[in-house]
Amino acid sequence: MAGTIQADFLQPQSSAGLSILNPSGNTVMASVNSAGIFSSTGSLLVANTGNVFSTGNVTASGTVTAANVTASGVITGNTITSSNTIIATNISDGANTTSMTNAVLGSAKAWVTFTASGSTTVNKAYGVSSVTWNGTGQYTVNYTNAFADTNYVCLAMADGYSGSYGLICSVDNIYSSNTQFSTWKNYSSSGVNSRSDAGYYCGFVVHK
Amino acid sequence: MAQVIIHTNSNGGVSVTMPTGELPIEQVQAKDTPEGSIIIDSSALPQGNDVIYFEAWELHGSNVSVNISKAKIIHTNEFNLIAAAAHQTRLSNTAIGLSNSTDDTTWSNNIVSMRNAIANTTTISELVAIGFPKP
Repeated sequence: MAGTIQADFLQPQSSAGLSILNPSGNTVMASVNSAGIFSSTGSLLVANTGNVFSTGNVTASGTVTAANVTASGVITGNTITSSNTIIATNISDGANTTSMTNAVLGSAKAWVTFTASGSTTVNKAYGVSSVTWNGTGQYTVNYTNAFADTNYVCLAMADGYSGSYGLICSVDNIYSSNTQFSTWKNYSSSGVNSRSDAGYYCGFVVHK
Repeated sequence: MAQVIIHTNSNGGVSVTMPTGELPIEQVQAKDTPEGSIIIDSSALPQGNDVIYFEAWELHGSNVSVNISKAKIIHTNEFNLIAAAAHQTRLSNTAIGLSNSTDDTTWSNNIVSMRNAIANTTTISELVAIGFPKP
């Protein structure tokens, strides 16, 4: 079959599932509900807010696009896109597989790199709305969206003005909407510390 | 030029908030800074040696300037820490048979001289030029 299949609703009557072999076309539907395996050699495009449900596998050689993609079996596509949620137990690149729990909990929830000296510059960030320079070596990282609680892990590393000495980082206060931390230099011979600006580099990462 | 948000903090100094670009700066101002904060170009902030004395910055209207009296206190505190560290290094050098830059009397007199210079300075550039003690 060549071309594009378009239907408001397509449901196979048997548990054997539904296969659409259309190498040159796509399958476009409002929703897909398959009791068996659904497969397409083209792309599976579920229009608008439609969903894909399958008690078997969902397979497409092209792109799988839907609001929600849920299958009891394996979901396979070159690209799987959802404007809402893709629910899966595992995720794989075809060679390596990891649990979705690992992917969700193991990924950084926010990070930022910045310098605070003559050029107060944020280099790159994710999940961070701003960094406030409160005093010498004293910073507040403000999150774009506040966390539900303060049970998160934050790590920081910093370098001083010339890049010739590293700084010690310490957390001052942890809130759901921001974290306050300090960077210190160490006068090692006397054991005396004082705050010092991360004028060369500062990186801050949050895991939750 | 990037814009930043500034406000006078609880220590009487200036806090500088740098937006990351994830949200519009006006939204960051409302969310991350207190009422009364203002948006300025970062180029309007003190530059060069003035940055060393960040905690001596003061906000007057929309202008940020360096309070030389506060800067002298900051320099003195740092001076004392470095002097103490240098003194420890001198003691260690003596204990392990290494030579110091000067004899103890000359070194102590130099410390006093530098401290007096800090007290008498009137500009940031003079303050920076005084520097810090070495072992």
